[in-house]
Amino acid sequence: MVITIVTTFAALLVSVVALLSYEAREYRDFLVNDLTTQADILAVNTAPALAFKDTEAADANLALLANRSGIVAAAIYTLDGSLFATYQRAGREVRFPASVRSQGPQVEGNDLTFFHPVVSNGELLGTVFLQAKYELADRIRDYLLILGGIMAVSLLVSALLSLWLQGSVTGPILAITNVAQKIVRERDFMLRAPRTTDDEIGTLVDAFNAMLAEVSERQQDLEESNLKLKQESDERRNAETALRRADKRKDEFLATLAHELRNPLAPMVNALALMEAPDSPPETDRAARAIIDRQLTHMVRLVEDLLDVSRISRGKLTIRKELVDLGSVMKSAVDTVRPLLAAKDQSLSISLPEQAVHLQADPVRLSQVFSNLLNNATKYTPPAGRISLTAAVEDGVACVTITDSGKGISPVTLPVMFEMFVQDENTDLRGQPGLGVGLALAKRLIELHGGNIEADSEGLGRGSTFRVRMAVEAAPAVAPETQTCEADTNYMRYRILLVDDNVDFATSLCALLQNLGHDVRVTHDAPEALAVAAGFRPDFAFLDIGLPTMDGYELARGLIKRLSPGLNLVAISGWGQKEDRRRASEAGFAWYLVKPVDLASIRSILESPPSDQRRSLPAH
Amino acid sequence: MLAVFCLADQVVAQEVEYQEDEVKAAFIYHFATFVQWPETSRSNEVFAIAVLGADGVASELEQFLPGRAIQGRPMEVRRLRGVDELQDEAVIFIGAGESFRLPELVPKVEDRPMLVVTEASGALKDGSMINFQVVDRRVRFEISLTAAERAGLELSSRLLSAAMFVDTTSAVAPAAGVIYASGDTSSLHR
Repeated sequence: MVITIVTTFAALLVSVVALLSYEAREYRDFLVNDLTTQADILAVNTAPALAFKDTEAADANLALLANRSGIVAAAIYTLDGSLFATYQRAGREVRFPASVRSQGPQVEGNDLTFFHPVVSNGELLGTVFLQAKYELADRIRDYLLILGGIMAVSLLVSALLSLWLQGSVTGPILAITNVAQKIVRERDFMLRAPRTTDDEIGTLVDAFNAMLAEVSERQQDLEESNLKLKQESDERRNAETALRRADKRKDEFLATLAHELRNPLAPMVNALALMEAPDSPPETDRAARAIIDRQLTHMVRLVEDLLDVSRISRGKLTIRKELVDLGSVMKSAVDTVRPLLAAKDQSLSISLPEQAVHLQADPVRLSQVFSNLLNNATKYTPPAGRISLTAAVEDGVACVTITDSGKGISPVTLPVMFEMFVQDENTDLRGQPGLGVGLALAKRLIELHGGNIEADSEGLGRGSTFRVRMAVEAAPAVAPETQTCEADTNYMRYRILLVDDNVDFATSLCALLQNLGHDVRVTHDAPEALAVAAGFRPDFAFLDIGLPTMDGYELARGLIKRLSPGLNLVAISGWGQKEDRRRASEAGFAWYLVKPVDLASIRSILESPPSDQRRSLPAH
Repeated sequence: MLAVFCLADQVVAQEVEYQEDEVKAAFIYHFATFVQWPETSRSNEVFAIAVLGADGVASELEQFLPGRAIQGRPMEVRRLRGVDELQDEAVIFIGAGESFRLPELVPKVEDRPMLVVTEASGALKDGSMINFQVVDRRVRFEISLTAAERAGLELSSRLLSAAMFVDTTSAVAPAAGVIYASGDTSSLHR
């Protein structure tokens, strides 16, 4: 607005100055021309008056100038320079020049004077003198007034125009500016400038809004990625903390482990020493054997737990689900802890539902969980304490509860009970404190089964309760048939061929299998095995893979060639890699056991042979 | 005593007379400048002014004319003793003493463009074209446009404007209004 007015004013000023200077020059030229003409006429007319010295005629001629308001005074000089006739406008006092001066116009104050010769017949008769108002200042003042008026009007018009233009041009731009400022102030990128016109301003508004949309999108992206980063960093921090804690526990665990593995050795060494005494009585031998058996069982359990821990940390812990009877799984678990119960004189009350409960589960692993929990219960319950094992079904969920009257769990430990390597620091367990992996293992296994486990305690010294919940499977049609088997005659009796070059392992496993009531033959290499198998016709063959002269895979193929169908092959190997398992599967093995082989695995294999093996022999 | 007075008076008169002659000589020259002379009169090289019975004026003319010209023709004065001596002069001035010869002269010059100037009262009636009169001791003149036109001379209106009286009785009167409003001539030019 100011710019418009200033430029308009400047333009007007320049034109005023130009106009005025032109006018001034024009005015002077006009006046001079006019005076010259007037003087010319006067000279011609007064020539006779001068010639005939007729002052009256001269006066009369001059008097006619009264019609010319611009002429202030006039005079006629004779040749000798004396005044012949004069004229002056009323109200003006004029001092006529004493003598004739150079001809041509001359400015004297506010008047223009002019001398002009009077000539007749080529002869100079005298001089005419004219004095006219030179009203340049007045004229310029008048002009300035007029131009000033024009300028004022022009400026007013241009100001109004500028205001109007502001409405249509700067208005939308101001609106954009307002929106931009508001955005900066409130950081609200959803604001948009209103579009009011379809011209360049409208395009500008569109571009501005598009830019806002882009900025807003970027802003959102940035905030999202910031949030994500923060979450990730939090997670990382948590993970780091967890790692540190786990690392600390692992260190503690290693210390405990060393201690735990060494502990059973001393009694075993002592027991061996007793047995080697030359004339030890049979009772002493039995006691020594019992010691060794107990300590070894403990060690085996430790090592198995350790292996499971390793599987968990490598994510290799797997289960093999099948339809199982909850009751039988619980029974096998109870069997494992009976010696402990007996040792501490603790009572175990068992309560099972009347109807059989079926689950989709890995019987060995599930049994492991329960025996673990029962083991803990006996461990943390003082001698002569009470332990109860209850199974119930509610809304299709089997709930197994193990309650003891033991030391209970401190509220500090309760939330982390199921983490790896955690042990209640308040417990004072001389002898067999365990590795602190049992509950973590149990939790993991139950989770693999799709169930959950929880611990509860009213506090230290008030006992504890563990609950395992798992979904119940509808009983299959064939289930009753299985169930009819008596508990004691749960196991079929098979002909079993055992091939292993490790004589001790083969012998001990043979004894175990024989104890279970099976017919077992042992060989230590492949040719012998083939020879024996021909006549023996085993239902199961447990083959070591690393055999001399012919490996387990080849032997398996040889046996299958001679005896299949009706032969079930079980591989026993020191290697548990995927590739090994694949090769075994290719060779025809139905099962794959990794050393050390626990009895439970073997029993579960023998309890649930493939269907084609049903034709197997009746009990011996 | 009376004689002394008369003598003094005569001296003053003589002085006036002398100035009067000088003025009249100049006037006669100026009259000639305000006349539209016909082409035919150019044939003569000299623009001559005849003076009859006015030696004072003739003498003044003799001093005044040299170096002046009309229509590019040098001027000269011819003193006449009688009307018979008239030749091809453009102007003739007849002194007051010889003005009785006017009726005799006029028919002689009627057919040629000759300006007749006199200084006797009533001379215009006898055929003079311009006649001097002294009013308030100032030399003035009266004009007979009739006589001038009869001679085929055209007098400038500016000359008429300076005249104290213009006789147009039987003249064609080209611009009677102009003549009587003698002072207004300048307005004609405006």
